[in-house]
Amino acid sequence: MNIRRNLAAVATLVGVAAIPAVCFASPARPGAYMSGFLGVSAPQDTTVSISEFNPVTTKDAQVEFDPGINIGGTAGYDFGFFRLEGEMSYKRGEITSVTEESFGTRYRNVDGHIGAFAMMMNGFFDLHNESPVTPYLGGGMGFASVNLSNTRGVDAVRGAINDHVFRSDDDTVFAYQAGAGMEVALNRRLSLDLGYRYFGTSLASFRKDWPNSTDLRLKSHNAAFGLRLKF
Amino acid sequence: MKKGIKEVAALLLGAVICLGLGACGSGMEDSFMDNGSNPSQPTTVSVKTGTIATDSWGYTGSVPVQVLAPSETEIAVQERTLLVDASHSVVSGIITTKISFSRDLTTVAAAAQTSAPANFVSYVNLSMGPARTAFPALTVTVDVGAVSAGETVTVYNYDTGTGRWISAQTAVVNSAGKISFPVSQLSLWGIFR
Repeated sequence: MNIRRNLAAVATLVGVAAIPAVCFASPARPGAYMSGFLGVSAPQDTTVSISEFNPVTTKDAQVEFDPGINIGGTAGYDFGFFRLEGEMSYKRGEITSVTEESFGTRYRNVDGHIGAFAMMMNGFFDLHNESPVTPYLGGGMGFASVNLSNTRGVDAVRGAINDHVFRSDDDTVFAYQAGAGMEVALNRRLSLDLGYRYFGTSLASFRKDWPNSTDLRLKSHNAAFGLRLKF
Repeated sequence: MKKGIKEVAALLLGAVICLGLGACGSGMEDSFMDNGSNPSQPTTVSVKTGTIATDSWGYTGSVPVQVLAPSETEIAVQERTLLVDASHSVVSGIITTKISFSRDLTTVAAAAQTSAPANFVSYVNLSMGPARTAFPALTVTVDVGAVSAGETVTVYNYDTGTGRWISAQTAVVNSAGKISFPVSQLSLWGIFR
């Protein structure tokens, strides 16, 4: 009996809370806004080119990642059907394996990560409708400071421990992204933002000095949940 | 007066002789070094030092290399050979190599002498900085001297941990009076009849 009463109370609460969202359609309303988001970044497997200077060798290692954090914020202006915004974000992926076939090296139990602090200029088209849910799509470009951490791994074939599979360094490169999402209006000022972004960079070069150079392009799938505040 | 001159001349002669002896000594030392030998070791040990480079992952280059070694031995390192130390960590950078060869067993450590099998022929001691193991194995070629072509010898590795010589393999002396064998452990290797 108590359970039914509690369930009814919860259902009522949820229903009341949903009233603004359901009743409030989201017509185009120009104005400034800012937002924050938090989510997951899943870097794509990538090929890392390593050039050694002494002895002179080159390696193309396949690197795999586990997802990491995706956090950031934006500030921009909504023109009605188009938004222009600046974005700062940090995305990170954990390196899980490094494989180099020609050397027969397979590093497992890898401890290292790649991160990108990005500053982007984005443009999004909002598809306003009579519902409180506004789909959008767009993209942006800017710069990213890509950081490759000192990376440690154990060669699964020979058991050799390498404390410097990659050495720590960073590089600032061109970055781009494209994505889509939906804005769910909670009231006239506040809305939820559920978004997906495909994020990529141009070739980042690490440790260009002695003893080697490491080059890679970071590409990642990113999902985030955010809050947007309109002024 | 004549006596005084004689004494001075004798002193000068003595000084010249002393200087000459000193010069002879340093000259011998130089030739010793030029010969690739370590002055602190007996002349029955031939020693050559050199370097080998490994990359950030501990690998040698993409072409085979020869380690600088005494004339009685050849040490061949295959391309992309991985060097690791005693704790299994990869060894990166410029590594100093030191290859010793001798036909005189008394030039190894006392423990190795006492535990050595009979009929010693020669030994090769491989030292490559902190590296202890090579993947794949290096190929060591040794001139076994008086051992006849076609004769079979046994190659032992000296285990410093246990103080024992461990039989690794046999090898047949070729027509050039040499044997070749693979070496993964960078340590003391003995050849016995």
